[in-house]
Amino acid sequence: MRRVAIFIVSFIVWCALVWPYNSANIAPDGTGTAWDLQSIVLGLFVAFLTALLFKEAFTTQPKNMFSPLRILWLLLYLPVFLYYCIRANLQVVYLVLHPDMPIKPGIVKVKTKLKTESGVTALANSITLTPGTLTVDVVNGNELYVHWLVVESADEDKATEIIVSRFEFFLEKIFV
Amino acid sequence: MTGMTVIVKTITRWTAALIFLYGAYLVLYGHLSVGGGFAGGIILACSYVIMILAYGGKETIHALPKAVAARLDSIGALAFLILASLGMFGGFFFSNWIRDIWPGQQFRVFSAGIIPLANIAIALKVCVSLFLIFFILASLRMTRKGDKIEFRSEEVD
Amino acid sequence: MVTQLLTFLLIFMIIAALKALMTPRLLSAAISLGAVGLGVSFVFLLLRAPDAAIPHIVVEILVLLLLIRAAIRREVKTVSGQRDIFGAAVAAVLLLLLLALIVPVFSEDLSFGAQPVWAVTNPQVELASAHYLSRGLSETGSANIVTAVLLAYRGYDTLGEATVLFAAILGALVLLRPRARKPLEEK
Repeated sequence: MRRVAIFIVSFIVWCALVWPYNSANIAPDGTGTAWDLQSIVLGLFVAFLTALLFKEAFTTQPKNMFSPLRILWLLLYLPVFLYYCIRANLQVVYLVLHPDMPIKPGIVKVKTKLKTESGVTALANSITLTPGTLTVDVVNGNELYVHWLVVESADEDKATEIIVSRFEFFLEKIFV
Repeated sequence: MTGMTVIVKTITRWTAALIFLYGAYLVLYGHLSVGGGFAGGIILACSYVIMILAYGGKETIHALPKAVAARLDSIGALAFLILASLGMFGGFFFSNWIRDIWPGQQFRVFSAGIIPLANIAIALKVCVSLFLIFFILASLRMTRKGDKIEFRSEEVD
Repeated sequence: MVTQLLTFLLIFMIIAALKALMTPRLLSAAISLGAVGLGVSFVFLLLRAPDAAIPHIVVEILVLLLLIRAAIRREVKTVSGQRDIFGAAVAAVLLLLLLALIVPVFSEDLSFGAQPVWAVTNPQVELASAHYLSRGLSETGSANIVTAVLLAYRGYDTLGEATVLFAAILGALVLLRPRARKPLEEK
């Protein structure tokens, strides 16, 4: 089941690399096909090879991989993340340009409700990509150590509320 | 060679197959666009090297055992030599006799005779060679005892 | 524009190489060496040779990784010791000789990709590069001329390269294995 998922994803990636559709292949008199069948056949073979060699690629729960609800939430998450990212960028710009540089750096411990490895990884990367916060390490699967440019609260619950919960709401629905 | 944190491991799980696909694309389309056996083979090797770095040597050597890798290495080198020797059918070493029999269509994948096949053989050779060299050198440990510097391998097989 | 960029990259690479030579710390030396390799692959890209740039940058990353793995978390972190005066003198003489040979070549003001003078004055001579470019596709069927040269026109060279790689991996496998295949005889 997992291998089938890897096969499908690999084939899609291969098609994106090769782009087997080219309308220039149609002769002026209308004969010939725009689809490059040779590269599609080759893509099936390569995708089969990838599924054979990489048994743990992409996903651990292939049943949920192509669920449309998750993809919808992912599409919704991207603009939300972009908004937070840009807002944090402007905040850091303000801190840097401020004559007093009012920073108060420190490392806080936060907890997450996400259970899957992929979810924790996506959360850690979201935190790192947002300027001002940076994931240092993940311990026990659900405890993150985050370096914070301006520590607003050293308390575990409060820091979780500020840093994690805004991303967690979406990631919980994406990585079920 | 122990692994890294869960973040690095998960990202490696997501990207290793993508790197492999890109390497395969470079190899198989080496006669049509940028790439070829050497470039593609090195990138294929990278998909295993990234696994060595993230998961550690033991997990990776489970995915591609050393004995299998050594045999694949020899197979790649021999396949290239055999392809060249089979050129004797066309009259001389390295003659492109497949292209004389079946020329294929220009700018398509199945064309150019032995060149794509030679690309695949070289890619196999380069990929497995680099993987083995990286694995062996990465598992090497250097320690100092008094005035003497001592090398030993940490791998267990 | 390309010339200025190339000059900038050259200066960058020279500084990085000097840094790699001068620093006593192994880790910074390895990273400076990586910067030199990055400069070389950018030069390849600027000269429109992606076929050379891709393997170069990937191998450079791999070698840098290996060097960092070898340099950090070891007991031997720095190098020290006297510089070999004889070796330095020989290197300086060789470099000066090379410089003296290179200066007349670059003072001829050849633009990039221009044909050498003897080829222009003798039009009946056909250059190998012109042959590859005009007839490479029809003779080998390979649209990528680099691959055509590597695997069709210069197949023997590629075979030699594969042999060198094979010898290298054979040596590494035999010398660096964790234990001997046959137990050593006790004496």
